[in-house]
Amino acid sequence: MTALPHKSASMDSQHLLSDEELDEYLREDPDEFVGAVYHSRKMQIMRYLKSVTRGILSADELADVFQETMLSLIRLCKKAVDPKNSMRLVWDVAKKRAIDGRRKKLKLSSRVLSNQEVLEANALADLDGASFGIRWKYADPAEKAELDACLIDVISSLPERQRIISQLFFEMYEELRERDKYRPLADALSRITGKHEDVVTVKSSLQAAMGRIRSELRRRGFKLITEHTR
Amino acid sequence: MNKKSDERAFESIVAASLRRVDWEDAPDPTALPELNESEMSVLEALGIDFIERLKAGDTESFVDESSEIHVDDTEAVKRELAFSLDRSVEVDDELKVELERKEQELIERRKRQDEKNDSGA
Repeated sequence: MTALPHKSASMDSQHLLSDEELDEYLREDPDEFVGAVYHSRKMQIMRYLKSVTRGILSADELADVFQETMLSLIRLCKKAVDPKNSMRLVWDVAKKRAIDGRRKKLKLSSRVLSNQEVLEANALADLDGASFGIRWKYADPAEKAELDACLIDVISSLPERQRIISQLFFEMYEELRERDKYRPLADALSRITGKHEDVVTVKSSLQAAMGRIRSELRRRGFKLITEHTR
Repeated sequence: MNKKSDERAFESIVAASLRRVDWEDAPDPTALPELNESEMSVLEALGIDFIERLKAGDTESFVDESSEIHVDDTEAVKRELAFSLDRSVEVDDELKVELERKEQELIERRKRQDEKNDSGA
């Protein structure tokens, strides 16, 4: 057995174990694997959970999801798991727990794994009618990636009501887009607030949220999809 | 090409962008959001023996159940409604029904109030 990096050393120095070293842990000492992941990668995992939950959870709620992730890993490591690419296993578990946490916060019942191809095809079709369509289609991929990283931060900065409504909207996007009705959005918000939410007000809040997202992106210099062209 | 098309495309792009992280097998470490102060504190507070405690069955929620989220910010709702009315919300069939219902409620309420005033006079 290859000597594993000394556990206490990794605890003391927050030494970032390589993926290969973590594979080694999982293969040789699965019982210690989760501890090694925790001491070496907890910051990265927490940031990933924040990313998948899109900044809608409080710090305590995020800690709950982190705990659920670690518990799931402990349970998984008691079974025979493939030690190759052990971090893939960690990300997979973390993503599932984070999506569960996100939908729980939004009081949406089941985990819905949307179809990437359909959603991206919709976006492409919508771009055909937009003034910035061509500009976006041929934009530098790095600039598009910048949007991914920036959006969570922008949405997190919205007032709470707008933040929840916009997150619900994007979580239910396929359904709302297809039906072009906002009643399901108002109903979903009612489940969170515990009172009747009328469509007019919810739609207004959503428009206000979209306006803020757009202007905040513009303020941060992200002009690809925030400026109309003639 | 009009404003509505731009808004729809904007929403579509944002939806796809937000969902992308759900589809990726592994995150790009350079694109992960930073933790704020309270998130850092709660992570640090888990302590060095966190995994050992979990293995021993010592788990409890970090969330104070009494601190439910409050999104019923009446003033904020009023401001948003005023904002949207100023900008002339596009009235589709669904909104039209909702507005008519509200108008009817208002008429009924006024009628009841008038009747009450009449009987009290």
